[in-house]
Amino acid sequence: MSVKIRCQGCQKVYRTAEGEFTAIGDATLQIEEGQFVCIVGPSGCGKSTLLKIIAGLDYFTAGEFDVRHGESRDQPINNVVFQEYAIFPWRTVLENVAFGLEMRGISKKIRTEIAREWLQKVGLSKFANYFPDQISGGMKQRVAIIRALANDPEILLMDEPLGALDAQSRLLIQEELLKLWDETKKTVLYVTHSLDEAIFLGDEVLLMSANPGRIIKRYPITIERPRSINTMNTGDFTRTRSEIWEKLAVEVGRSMANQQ
Amino acid sequence: MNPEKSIKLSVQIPLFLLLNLVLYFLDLWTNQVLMCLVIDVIIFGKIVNDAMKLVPVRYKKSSERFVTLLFPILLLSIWEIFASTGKINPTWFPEPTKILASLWELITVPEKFSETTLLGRPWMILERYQEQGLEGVWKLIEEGHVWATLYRVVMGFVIGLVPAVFCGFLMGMNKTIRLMFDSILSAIYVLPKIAIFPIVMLVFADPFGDAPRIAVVALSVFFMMTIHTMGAVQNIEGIYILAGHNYGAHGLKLFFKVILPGSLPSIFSGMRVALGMALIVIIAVEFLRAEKGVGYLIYYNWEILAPEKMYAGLITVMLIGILTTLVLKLLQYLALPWKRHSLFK
Ligand SMILES: Nc1ncnc2c1ncn2[C@@H]1O[C@H](COP(=O)(O)OP(=O)(O)O)[C@@H](O)[C@H]1O
Ligand SMILES: [Mg+2]
Repeated sequence: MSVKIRCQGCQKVYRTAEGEFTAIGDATLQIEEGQFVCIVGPSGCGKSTLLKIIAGLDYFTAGEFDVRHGESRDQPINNVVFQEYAIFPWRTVLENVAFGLEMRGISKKIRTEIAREWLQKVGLSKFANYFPDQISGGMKQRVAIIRALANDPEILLMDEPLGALDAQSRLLIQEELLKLWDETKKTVLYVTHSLDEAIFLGDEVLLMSANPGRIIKRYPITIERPRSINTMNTGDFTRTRSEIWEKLAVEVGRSMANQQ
Repeated sequence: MNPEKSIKLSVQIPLFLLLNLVLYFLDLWTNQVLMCLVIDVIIFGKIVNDAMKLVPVRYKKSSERFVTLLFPILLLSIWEIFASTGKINPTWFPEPTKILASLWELITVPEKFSETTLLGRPWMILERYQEQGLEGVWKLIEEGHVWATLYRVVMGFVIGLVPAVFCGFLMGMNKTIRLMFDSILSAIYVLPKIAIFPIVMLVFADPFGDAPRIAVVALSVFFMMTIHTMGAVQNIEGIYILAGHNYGAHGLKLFFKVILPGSLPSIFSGMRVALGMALIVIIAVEFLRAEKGVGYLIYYNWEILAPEKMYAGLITVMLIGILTTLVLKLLQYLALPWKRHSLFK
């Protein structure tokens, strides 16, 4: 396995009207090709910022940062599932899913076909011609996810993609997501505020500190795959969870103290 | 049926009638008309409100439509009665029926100076058609007051709109351009455009022709729409631009696939406002100096003190406003398919 994403001592300082603000203090991480890595941390610690920078939509102000491209020239390097969904209200569900393909100049016939396949996979075929304003929040999240998957990027960057879902749909989509990942074996960087979700999905959980965000610890998750809902009741799972929670709770506490 | 409510109504309605009888015999309906009217409207409104709650769900929609139609008719009837019995001065508030009659007169009888009518002697349409075909009919419509105003307002609107949207996009997307023009634009924006009409007149070869009138409408629309378009572009949520970039939309692709559709709804709502302003400007300009047009007609009838014709002119302006707004809504319907379900709510 080769290293796909590498950050060494990366920093992000925003210059605002009130002065400098360090959003990311020290991001040091290494993600192998085909790995599913989850990032957890208190809100405001810089997870979204980190993801946007890795996506190439912003830049670090210090440190070494490197993303290794694959051989294939046509495959996009990464696509993001944004925390705010960011699906375009002026495009139908189908057109949203086909957006990346359209931008890459793929013919209408082929991109429609691909988009329909993905809609089928997540049970949204019926809503292909609806506009985002006409579907529920959960559906929008699924559209945002398959918009990224349909574009077939080397790296999938997801920012709390299931954040707004109720517990039941969340479980269902998590399982679905694992299945999709199993089929495609993409490199995934997945930001979440749910520790359970991180352990359930990831090969590895990275713990981020309260602001200014640092990656303070890396937990390999050795729980066997394929995983299912029952995985969450195993001893391995609960042990890992209490181990990480011990540290995470400290950071969440610090973050809340910061805000006061 | 809600028994409590219906009992309440059966008390309220007789009380309402009784109150009016008392008011009538105390001569308040002659001396304190306004007060009585306000009291009546409030009580009547309350009764209708309660009555609406008694309507079975099945008839809800139709009863709502009934109220929206009936209430204005009721008000107009009150106006009619009051004016014809002299309770309000018919010189300033002529009866609605008289206004309608004079609207008919304005359409059918050529007015002395412009020698045309609101719609340009429509009774000659058939004759002209036989003589000169469709072109002749068109000429007839063209000579009318409505067409004169409509033509000026639509031309001015379009001539102002197109460059405004272009400049607005440039200013919205490029900070340097925005900084260069922002202060000039805001300064001119607050200037009432009618104030520059005399200067605009001087600029044109024929100061009394249609060109300066169209130009002043165009200028007002231009400044308003440039600012509005700029704001629309700046207000697109940053996350859409990021998503566009992430999925490979840059340059023109980003413009046509993200920035343009992202700002269109707000541009359209700006157009609604600009259209209203264009109408104000053109009517004001026609008050000042015009040989025809609805503004001219209103002002002329003020000079000869024919109030019911002034009102008829006002109705015509309203109709022009409604018509142009409808056309705009239709364009919006076509241009913004994703807003269709909320457009005609
Ligand atoms: N463009 C920006 N300018 C200034 N500060 C920013 C900007 N974007 C994010 N921040 C700040 O950086 C911090 C981290 O934000 P974010 O990455 O969204 O946190 P998270 O996703 O972990 O909740 C927050 O305090 C936020 O206010
Ligand atoms: Mg975030």
